[in-house]
Amino acid sequence: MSARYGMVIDLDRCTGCGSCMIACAADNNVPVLPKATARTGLTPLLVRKVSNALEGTARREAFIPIMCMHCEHETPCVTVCPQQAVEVDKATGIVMQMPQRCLGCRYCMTACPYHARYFNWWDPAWPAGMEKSLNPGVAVRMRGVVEKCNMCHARLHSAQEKAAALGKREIDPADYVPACVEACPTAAIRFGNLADKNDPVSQEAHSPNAFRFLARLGTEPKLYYKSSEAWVRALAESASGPVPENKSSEKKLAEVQHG
Amino acid sequence: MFPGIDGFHWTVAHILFLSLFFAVALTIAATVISAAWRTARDFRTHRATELCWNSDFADLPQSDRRCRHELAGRVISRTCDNAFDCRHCNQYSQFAVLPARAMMHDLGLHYPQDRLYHRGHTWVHAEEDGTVTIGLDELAHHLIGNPDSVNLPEPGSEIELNQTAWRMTKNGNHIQVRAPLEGTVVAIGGPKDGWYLKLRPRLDPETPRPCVTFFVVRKFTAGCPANSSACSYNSGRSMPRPAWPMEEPFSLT
Amino acid sequence: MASTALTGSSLTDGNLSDKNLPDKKWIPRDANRTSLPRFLLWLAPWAALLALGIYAAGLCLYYGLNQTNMDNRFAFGLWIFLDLGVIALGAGAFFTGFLVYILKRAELRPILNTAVVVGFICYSGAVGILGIDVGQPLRFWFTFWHPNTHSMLTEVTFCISCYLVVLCLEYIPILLRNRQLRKLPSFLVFEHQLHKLVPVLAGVGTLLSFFHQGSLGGLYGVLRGRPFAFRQGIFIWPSTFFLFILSAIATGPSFLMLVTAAVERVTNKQLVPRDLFRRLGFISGVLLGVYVAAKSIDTLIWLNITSPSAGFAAWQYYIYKPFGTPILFVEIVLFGLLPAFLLTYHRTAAHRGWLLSAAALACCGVLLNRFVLTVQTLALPTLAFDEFLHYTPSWQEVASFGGVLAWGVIVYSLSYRYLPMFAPLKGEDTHVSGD
Repeated sequence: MSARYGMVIDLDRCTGCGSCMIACAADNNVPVLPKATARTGLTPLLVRKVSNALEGTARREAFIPIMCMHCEHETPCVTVCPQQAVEVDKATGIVMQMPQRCLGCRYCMTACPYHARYFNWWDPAWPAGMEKSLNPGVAVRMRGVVEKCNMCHARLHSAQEKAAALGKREIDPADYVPACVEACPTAAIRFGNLADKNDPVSQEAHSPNAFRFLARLGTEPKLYYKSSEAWVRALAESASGPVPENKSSEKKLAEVQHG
Repeated sequence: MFPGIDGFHWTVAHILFLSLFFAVALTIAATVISAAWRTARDFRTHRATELCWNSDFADLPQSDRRCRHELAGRVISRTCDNAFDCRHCNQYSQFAVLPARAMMHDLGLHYPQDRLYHRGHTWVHAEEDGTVTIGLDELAHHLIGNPDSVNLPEPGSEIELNQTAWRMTKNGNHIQVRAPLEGTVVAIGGPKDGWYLKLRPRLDPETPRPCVTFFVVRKFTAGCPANSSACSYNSGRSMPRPAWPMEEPFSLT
Repeated sequence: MASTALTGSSLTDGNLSDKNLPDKKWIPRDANRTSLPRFLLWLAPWAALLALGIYAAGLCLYYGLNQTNMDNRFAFGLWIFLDLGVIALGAGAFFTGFLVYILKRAELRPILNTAVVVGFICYSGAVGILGIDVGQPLRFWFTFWHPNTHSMLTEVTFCISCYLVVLCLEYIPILLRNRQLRKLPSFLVFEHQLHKLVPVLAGVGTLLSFFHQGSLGGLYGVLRGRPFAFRQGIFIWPSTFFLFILSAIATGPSFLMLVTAAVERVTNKQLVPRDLFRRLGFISGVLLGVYVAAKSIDTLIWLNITSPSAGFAAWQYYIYKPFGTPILFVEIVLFGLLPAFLLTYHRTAAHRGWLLSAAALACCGVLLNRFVLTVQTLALPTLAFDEFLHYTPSWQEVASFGGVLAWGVIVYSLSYRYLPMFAPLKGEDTHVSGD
């Protein structure tokens, strides 16, 4: 049976330490870009800081790790890529990006509502000596192509090789753990097979406090988020979200929080 | 794009889309190839010269698109049913016999009436012994002056209609003078003689024949009216009048 | 003779000696052209701009797209906006060809050559910019090799490539009518034969243009992840597909009108029959009216049904300065309904000044529409905790596009000088200069 790998990210537990970001960058050979800015940096996994837009003692903040949501239905980036450099892997549900085929047109970046795709604005480079720490299982991408989280597919590949070496058809789930999941000190990011009803992640995805971002767009993302705070859950949909610059939108936020 | 490409999954949508694309691409290619093939065919069937002629004539300013008999003063004016292509005109001979009232003194140049003139700026004078004398007309003389060198054909050699009869040089420019007639060179003269060749013609000078002729002057000075758009001979193509010797002035407007 | 009006500021001098026209034999017979030194003076700043544009493009190709101010949130920037705008304005090429060759509207013939050259300029410029806009230009053929039929961009790529070929083929007969080139019999006969087949090319061009103008709209209409741009439609085509076609064919004739008027001003001659502008304006106005109606209906459906069903309320899009609701008003009414009225109302359509102003408004409308869909879409937040973003193009981006503009002016100037772009006018078609 084919798997549907997904995650549940517990926002109550996320401290914003950023270990997941560092692990992701290290494991996936993300280059060091000294000239990058917040908007041109390469962060397949990016922890966003959010607040409830109030001040003083009423202020609440949270951290939200954002990465590719691996949309299942009418995946926006898959339908728009002109040369089929992206596809949804039928066996795993992972949205695969092929940097070797990518033309760099960035149409997929326009299409992604989660801003989970990143462009290589520079040639990849590492400080002297750091290239020795590169992960040999992951190809380095060239300048001018788009990349994103691929659920550490190299680790899945290793798990498959290991299973094949042992003569098994299915991988041992413990062998395939993405870097961010492994690195998170509070186990806020949980990884599992959503197609397997017995998988604890699959069960957690249906818990009452679980939500997905922009679910109303209908793309069926496979990354679920969980929070016991109502104001965090309210961030799931844009229409109810706060827009700090504008007073009328703060009124709307108040309605949402207290209504 | 093509069947058999590794890893490409064909769907109905692909077949439809690519069929449409290939149909369009083939249409475009067919258009270009068809145009090229028709061009080659035109050259093979000699329609090309006719096309060239037609397009050149259409290019002339309105004032030049007149019947040659009008220009020669044979008729006051007439409209041509033949698009001014005298080669296919069955009325030509009717007009040719009318007396011409020539405009002899365009540009103050003298064109004696006892000679026949060729668009190559040569004149032909029929002698009593059946030979013809060929010389350069006043305009050519006015433009060239005294040539630096003259290279005439040997007596006894043949020259062909509208091919190079003789060559001259002036100020480093090379001039090829076109033969107004075909025949055998009997005697040669020079600038001082006032004539250049005596020829025994193969045909009667007055026999009409369609042909292409032009006066080729390379790197002539800018002052030459032959180089200006005013000169209707400038394009070097066959022009509305067939170029057999005629007592006719040159229209230099 | 048509070219009677000569003023002191004119660039043309009727009776120059040939000393100043060393290229006279390349100029069409009986054509009055300015002296070569003066022409070169006219070309000089444009050549400089083109050189700057090539340099900027070279920087982007050599160093990478970090030379631009595009980033991960503004993945499409000035170049895409101007590409879409220029292709919309160049729609006059296919539409005029369609009207003349397929619908047999011979009264538009005088502007046909200009339409082809303007189309060639617009599409070659757009393709040139696209070549530097992608991260890996040498991989352009991947789209052909592994086409994704779900993607509008695949459709755009195929159609625009084919259409550029068609435009080149339509330009070649005009080129071959150069006085010196037609001396070569093979060129002249080939031009004659190719010209006979131009209706086929016009038909193919119409088909291709229909699809790619539409698909450029479809590029944004299918973006499920951007509810500001996403539209419902018919079958696989969102409403923006049809709206883009309509706006392109509505403004194409207007743009041609503006270009011809500019050429007439620079050369100080009347080049086309006096009522041609009025006809072009009328076509443009009627189509613009249809477009405004369609766009209004579409906007209402989008604001009330499509967007809210994706979880995005309409008010969210227009709370950011300067992209407030006035933009909607400007796009649909000021740059849409108003020019449509001015171009079709007989009193205003009779005056050249009103016609040209209305044409300019219409062109601004199509540019604003493309801007709203390319730039505003990306500026607007999608996730609840996104911010409204700002973007300013870098000098390399602006210079590259300046290079395209310069390319256009140079190509057109050379075409005007050396090719018979405009047929001589008959007496009743002329008007007193300054009318």
